[in-house]
Amino acid sequence: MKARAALLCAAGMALLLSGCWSKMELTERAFVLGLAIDEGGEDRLEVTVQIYKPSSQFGSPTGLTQDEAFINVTLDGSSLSNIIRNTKTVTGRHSQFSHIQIILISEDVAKKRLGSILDFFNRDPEIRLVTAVMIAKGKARDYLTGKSLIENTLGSQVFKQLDFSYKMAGRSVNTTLLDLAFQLKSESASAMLPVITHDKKFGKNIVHGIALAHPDRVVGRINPEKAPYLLLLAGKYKYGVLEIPCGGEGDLSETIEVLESEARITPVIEGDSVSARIRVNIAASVGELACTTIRDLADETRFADMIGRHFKEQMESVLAALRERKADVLGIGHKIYVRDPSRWKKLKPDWPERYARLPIELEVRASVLNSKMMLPGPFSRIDDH
Amino acid sequence: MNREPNHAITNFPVSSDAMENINRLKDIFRHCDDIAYEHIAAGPDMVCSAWIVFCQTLADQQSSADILSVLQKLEMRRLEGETAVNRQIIREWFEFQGVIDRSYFVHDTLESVVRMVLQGHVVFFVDRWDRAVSFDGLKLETRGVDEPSAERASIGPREGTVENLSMNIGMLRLRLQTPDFKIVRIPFAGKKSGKEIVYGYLDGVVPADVLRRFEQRIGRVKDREIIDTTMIEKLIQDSARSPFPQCRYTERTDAATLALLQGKIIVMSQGSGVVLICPSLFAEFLQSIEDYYHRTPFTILIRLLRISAFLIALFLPSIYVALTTFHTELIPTVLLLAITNTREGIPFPSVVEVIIMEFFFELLREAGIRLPQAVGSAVSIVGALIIGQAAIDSGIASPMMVVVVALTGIASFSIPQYNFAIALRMLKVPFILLAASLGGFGIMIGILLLLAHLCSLRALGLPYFDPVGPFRPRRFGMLVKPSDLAKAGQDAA
Repeated sequence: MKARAALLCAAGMALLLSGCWSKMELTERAFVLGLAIDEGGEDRLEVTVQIYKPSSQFGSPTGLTQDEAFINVTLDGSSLSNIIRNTKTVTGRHSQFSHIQIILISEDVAKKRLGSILDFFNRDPEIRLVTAVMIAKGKARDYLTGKSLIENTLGSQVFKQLDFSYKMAGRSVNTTLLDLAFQLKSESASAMLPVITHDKKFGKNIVHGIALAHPDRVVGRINPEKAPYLLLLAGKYKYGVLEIPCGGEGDLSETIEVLESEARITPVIEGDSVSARIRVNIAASVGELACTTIRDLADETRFADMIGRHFKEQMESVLAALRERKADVLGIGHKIYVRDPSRWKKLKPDWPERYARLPIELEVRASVLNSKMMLPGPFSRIDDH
Repeated sequence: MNREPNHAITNFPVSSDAMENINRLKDIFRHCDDIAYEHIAAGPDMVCSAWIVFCQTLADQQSSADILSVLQKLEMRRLEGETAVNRQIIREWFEFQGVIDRSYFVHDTLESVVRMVLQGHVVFFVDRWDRAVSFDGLKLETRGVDEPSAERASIGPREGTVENLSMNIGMLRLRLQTPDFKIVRIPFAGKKSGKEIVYGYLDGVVPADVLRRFEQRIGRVKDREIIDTTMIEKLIQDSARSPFPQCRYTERTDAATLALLQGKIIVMSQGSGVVLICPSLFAEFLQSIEDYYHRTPFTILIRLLRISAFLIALFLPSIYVALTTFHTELIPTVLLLAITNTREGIPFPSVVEVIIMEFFFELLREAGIRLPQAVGSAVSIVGALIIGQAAIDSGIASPMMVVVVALTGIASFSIPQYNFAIALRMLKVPFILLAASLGGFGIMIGILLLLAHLCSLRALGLPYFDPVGPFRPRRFGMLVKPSDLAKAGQDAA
């Protein structure tokens, strides 16, 4: 009997004393959907928290114009954790970061202290490591203010834009906190981040372009036109439409759709000299052709070669830009480390300088799938003009 | 008014003086005005006289005419033999020759005479013989054979049991035409209710130790008052404290037949159409007789559906509480925002909300059962449409909670065995409380305790949670597939 009671007691303790929990009703929590970090002058930060504002079903009678589904709270301070803690005093609810859609970091801040911000997010248990991080051109806060286009909140709006920019358009890269950790903690210590900019002409926010980080701050940007080629080099290009200028006068260009791409990066180590070989395979289909007519297989092969040449040119300029900024986002350094750790130990101290001068042999192979225009032949008669 | 208890006087042997017997009976049956006593006499000098005793409300009036003809036959014999009717002749007459075209019983104590009268037998005492003769004259009306309303099936026989025991046994006999189908009678269970109870099994199919254990327990029925078969469950179940039933019921003869073929023991009683099936294991509560009539792929899908219904009925409200108060991170963002919208403005924490709604639901369910059918549908309309909508509009409950509670209710309805669904209804509440206090961790503790209980539970010695309890992965198929009846037949042969 005694043994039984002791056993029950032990089992009860084992069950009840382990674990930790935070019981809180939904109505006591404020769900943060977006976070923008700006510079507040003098080493201070300005943090804007976008909080979902639940619309009570007993609230305003239907038919009235609906308010925005979110509120923005901006506070400043010297440390991120302190500011975030203080949001409670403004909102009166516990700010829950588990469902945050996007973290926007203004370029100015990212150039100075990206590393410490990432450290905070990695330490905080509430934020998911799959939260997307984005670099904002100008004030990050501006991207969270205003009216959202389709989604409930601007946070989700920006996140959706990013997702499609990466997956369907190939104009940017989706980078989560976890990706950043992997990239910055790899031997190459370089990462790619998406960039959001404001288009003044149409008054819209656009996600395109890639920011380069090394080793704990943003060191530069690849502009939107070049971004697809960087993605192709990194083997991260999913799907998208690319234009190839015809050359000559005018703005005419050929349009192709990249269906599949594959990149293989091989470091070549021969004695003391280190170089890299990159092979990119691209399978594309033809969109509109402004200055070429494809009538037979020979035409198609010629066209494919033309694409390959153009891609190679573009990629080479991207590689040059990367090396110039010493951002090894393709992970060549890490690949050397994986292949030959002892040699990497020797190379590592002056790797950034070595990388800046690294000879890279680039090989691009393009193939055209379903041009669809050999039978019965294309409508356009460019060659005949 | 304190009276001498009847059993003291019923112990008398039947006297050879018919008049004395009648007087005794009249004393026993005092204030029982539906007992009829008739005196008839036959023969040229009315020398052959007899008394008939029967219960007017139970037995056929026709019987006295039958007896008169019996007496006349007796008289004829006397004329043939030219000897006076004496005890010897009467005894021979009844005991060896068979007089009436119905089966009859000869009694030598007044106690059994009283019993027979109360069972609807017509008893008669022939003068100068110290025995009484009775035959069944029961004329009670029984309900016609019909499909049981509690156990409808889309396909299969529409035959259900009735309140007449012998008719029920007959229907089962027709379905199992083998001498292996044993029907054992326990004639007079209970001191006052005096119920006829039978149990049946297929010899060779039912495991011997299960039958032995069952027979030990069913013996206890003698000193209990039994009104319905369902009361026997309490005598034969292994654990009275477990929320899980260890017996199941049917009113379908085909389901009873199936149970017999699967090696179960069935119990029936006079005056009740309920067939008790024992031992019943966890997996069997999720099956329905229809599963055997449909094609196997469909049956498997239906079983999976029922297993998920089981899980929903047991866990859905507690999981909802745990997710919304402890583990909001686990809810997908868009759904979470939708839920926060519905929760906004609700004054209660979600535990209180769920308990209020579950209470409403149980109340409506109870009201629906008790009310007559016509009013019952009105209750469900008021309950479902008006109260549900009003609860949402007035801010007592969120629409999401109504969805959760309604889904839980529907899931518990889709469990074929009602008494098993009751177990889930009972267990739901502790799970909600655990979820409200400890979140998902609390639910895990609950599941742990539940599994420990299920694994230790036995039904007539068989492990209740088979094939999960004693872990037998090869037999997992029985959870979703109808069992192979050909095997049962082979075992029986």
